[in-house]
Amino acid sequence: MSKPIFGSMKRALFAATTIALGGALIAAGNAEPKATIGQPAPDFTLIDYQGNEHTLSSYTNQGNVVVLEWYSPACPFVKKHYREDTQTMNNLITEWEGKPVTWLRLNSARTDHPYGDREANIASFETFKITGPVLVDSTGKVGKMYGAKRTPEMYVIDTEGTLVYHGAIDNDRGASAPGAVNYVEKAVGEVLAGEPVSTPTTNAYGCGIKYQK
Amino acid sequence: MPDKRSKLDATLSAAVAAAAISVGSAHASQPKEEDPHADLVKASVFAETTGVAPGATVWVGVHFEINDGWHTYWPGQNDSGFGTKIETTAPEGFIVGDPRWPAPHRYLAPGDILDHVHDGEVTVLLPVTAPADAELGTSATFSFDLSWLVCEEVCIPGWETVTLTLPIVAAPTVATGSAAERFTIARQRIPRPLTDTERVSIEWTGQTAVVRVMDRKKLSFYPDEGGSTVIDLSTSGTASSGVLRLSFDTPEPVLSGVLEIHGSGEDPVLFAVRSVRDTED
Repeated sequence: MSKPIFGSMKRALFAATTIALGGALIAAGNAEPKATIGQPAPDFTLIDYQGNEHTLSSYTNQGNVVVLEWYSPACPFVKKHYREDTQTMNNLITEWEGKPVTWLRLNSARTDHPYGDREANIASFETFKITGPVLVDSTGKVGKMYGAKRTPEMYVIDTEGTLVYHGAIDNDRGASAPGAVNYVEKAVGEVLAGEPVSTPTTNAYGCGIKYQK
Repeated sequence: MPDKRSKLDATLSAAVAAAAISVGSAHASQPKEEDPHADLVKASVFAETTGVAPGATVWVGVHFEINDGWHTYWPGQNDSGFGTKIETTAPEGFIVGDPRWPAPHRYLAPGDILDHVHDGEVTVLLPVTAPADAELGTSATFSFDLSWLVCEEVCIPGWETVTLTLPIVAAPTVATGSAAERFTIARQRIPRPLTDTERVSIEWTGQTAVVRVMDRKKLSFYPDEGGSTVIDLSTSGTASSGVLRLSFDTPEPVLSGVLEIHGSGEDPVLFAVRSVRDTED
């Protein structure tokens, strides 16, 4: 089975052109993939602050439930979940250790904004005791695909790659104290138990994501 | 109250942070540092009159002076931030009514992020009613616990408690000067009930409310917390055609908020609107 190399390169080029054109056509028709509850979550590949690559579908294909957390190193609403006395996010991650759950943080702020600044982000990992990956989305492409507007804004994707939760981390919309009901804990718990997610959407709250202008 | 330790933590090195874990509660008992952002919003309170008569109602203004370039959040529907809060403590027998907020303006950021904000100066009006048996010659002190989020490039939560002492007098007179001026300015942007139904009509077509205004072109709608979520408010919430089409994705939508009819050389007109789809249709 020896295909002429040229032929396959041509086909590859043709495929790439088609994809590019297809993309352009989709964009013109205003039908960019959008995250919708009950639909496949748009796939993406991003690099984290340590330089490692992460592809959403590679985690779900491995049978993991994926939590996406839109992140900012200095937003008061994010900080309230990373204080010594709260640690909302890290406590959940610890709670699910040994379970098939992957937690990915994403930062969609532009790099010339304090929230998107590389050094500020890296410094925040120590302060906030963040050990997992924070993915850099400084073009805002993935953030806009998911319709993320604020930090923290949360998404849960089941092992089929279906978006099953979108909204707030919890039910206290202020910047002082976490709420009594944690929607992500509930949604992931239901997915792990093989049950449907009882509250698939809530209104997220937080600081506006500082997208590229 | 937001915890200041997070700010303090940001300055700690990894080693110190690690040490801080082991000291735990000792860390928590450290005194709060000075708020370096205290001057971003200056709050004050004043009454419209020199006092209140027994059984009468006077207007009190809670005034916010917001630093240039910064904004605070109107307590209605917003994509981000949180609405400024006013919590009142009044002496027994005195009644403080709901705050009347001047209408906000739209603040649209990249990524379709729409907020309804205040900037510059804003005065919130609250009606205060004295009990009929309030004793002349005494006074009543009210405290207002204020909390807000103020944003420019970054967002910073702030809070302050302001107090007002009102003398109980038989015949209070109207205050003059900057206070009087602030009440006048505030009232220009406080919505009034929609009574002008000949000029403004709201009709439902399915789950879409169609708001029409006869003689003006530019309209904006600012939904409040009592209303359903409007689809694509960043584009549908303002129009220059004299017609707003506001769609909802709930079966029993409630249109509730402030309609601004922008002026073109004339003063803007602000109405509090509320309309529920007639399911008999």
